[in-house]
Amino acid sequence: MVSPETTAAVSSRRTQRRVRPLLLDLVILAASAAIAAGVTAGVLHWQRSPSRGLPYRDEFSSGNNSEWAAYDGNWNVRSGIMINESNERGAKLVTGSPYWTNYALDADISLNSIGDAGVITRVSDAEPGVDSYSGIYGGLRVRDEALVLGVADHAWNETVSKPMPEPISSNVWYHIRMAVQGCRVDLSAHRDGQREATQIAVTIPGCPVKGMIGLRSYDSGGQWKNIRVTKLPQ
Amino acid sequence: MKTVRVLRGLIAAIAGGVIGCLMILLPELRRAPSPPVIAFIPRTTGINLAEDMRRGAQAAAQMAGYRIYWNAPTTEDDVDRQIRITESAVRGGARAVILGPSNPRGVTTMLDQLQKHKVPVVIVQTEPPIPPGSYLTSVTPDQWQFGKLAAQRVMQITGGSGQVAIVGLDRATPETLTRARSFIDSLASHPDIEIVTQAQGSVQTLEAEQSARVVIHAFPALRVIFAVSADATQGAVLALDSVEPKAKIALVGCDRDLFLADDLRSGKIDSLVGIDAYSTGFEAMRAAVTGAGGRPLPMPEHVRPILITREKAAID
Repeated sequence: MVSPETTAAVSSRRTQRRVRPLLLDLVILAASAAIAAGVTAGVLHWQRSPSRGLPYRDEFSSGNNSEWAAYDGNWNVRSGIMINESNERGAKLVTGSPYWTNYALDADISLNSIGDAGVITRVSDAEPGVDSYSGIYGGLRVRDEALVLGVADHAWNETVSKPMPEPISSNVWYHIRMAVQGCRVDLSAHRDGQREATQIAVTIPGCPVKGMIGLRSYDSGGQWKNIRVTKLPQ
Repeated sequence: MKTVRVLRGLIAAIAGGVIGCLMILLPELRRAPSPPVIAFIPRTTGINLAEDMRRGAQAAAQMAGYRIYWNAPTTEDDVDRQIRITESAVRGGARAVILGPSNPRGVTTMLDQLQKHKVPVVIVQTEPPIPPGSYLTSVTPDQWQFGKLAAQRVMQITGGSGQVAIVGLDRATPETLTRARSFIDSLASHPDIEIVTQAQGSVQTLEAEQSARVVIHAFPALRVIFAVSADATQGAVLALDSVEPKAKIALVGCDRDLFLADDLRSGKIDSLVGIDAYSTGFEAMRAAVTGAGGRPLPMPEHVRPILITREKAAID
């Protein structure tokens, strides 16, 4: 004869035996969810760090340009120089992290003909087409012999241009530097061997806030070398 | 029994991992709703004419609650790229297309396809290559007027006699042929005006320059050059710049494009025949919005060009 208390105790133990693994499963589920969420967030944070990959440098010495993405143009590397042989309007070559924010881009550039050529910063949403990207362009324009700065948002909005002290010559190296910090943009350019630079310093309201770097030419082929990107304070 | 427990634990861990990842990633994938899109694909962008049209279209689109997808080939003659961009925009959900055909005959098949799929199309910059219909209309310059206005200006410059050359004819851009034909027609009743040549053009500035230079050297008594496109005008400006001593040749150009307005003000160009590109963009977008809303497209519209002389440009 089994007492009612004993039956209740057996039933309780059975319930416990059923529930305990379930609880354990739930704990495992919750713990692994928390760990996975933490790891995913950590990976995303690392991937999106504005410092990842900086400082960046490309001397084009290896001849390997696989980390660059071309949007129009005819790009080749020769003897440490990136060359765009096409004079179509708005050829772009882009690299870097889409999460870079405050940085300075240095490059040596040389124009092939009568258009303009330069560098782009904070590039996002790039696709083939003349101004088909969001970002800031700074370059040398032969047409009015000027250093020019503007913002592209799948359309061109020129911010400012400043005359160069001498006519811009084809196949002559110019050093160009664009520093972007917040919405302040400092652009300068000088002919190789000369010290005095033409400078532009502006604050662009509603500027693009982050993005990759790139090389761009418009109605002119061009040559670029010694690409360097250095981090600026946040 | 133990194996089952281990398996259950493993499944719980994997499920937990997936849930944890999704908790972080799902909010990232969520996108804010965006307004409906109308694609505007001119021959090329980054030049004054196109940018003025974009500003006009932008204003009309904003008023109607639409967003513009704005893109074009990097060269004006790249019809293949223009077709790819247009098709991609339509695949991406564009409710209507405004198109400035790089080569009107080259986009005929695409236009047929778009009409078949009931995508409203508004043609700008040149006449549509197929007749307008329920899903096709146009807002284009009155090309015949270009030639007439240029001829009137030539009469003023020459006083009714002298040698005149036409540069920039291009079969791929039919408006250049129309402008030239109307120019010749308008001068037909003035026998003392001699049209000495009709030179081929190119969208490549350097080729256009070379073509104009050949004409300048071949006809030393030339009084006026009529350049029937922006590229031809640009080429003629460069060619005239390089002639020594500076030739006394007046340049009557077409289209307020590239940097031609600067050249007009500086006196390198005598006058330009052009349209109000802002209004063209605005009207084209209004037509596209009508079509995108499911209503019949308006009838084709012709925009009258105006002649802008150096003096008028200086006042502006």
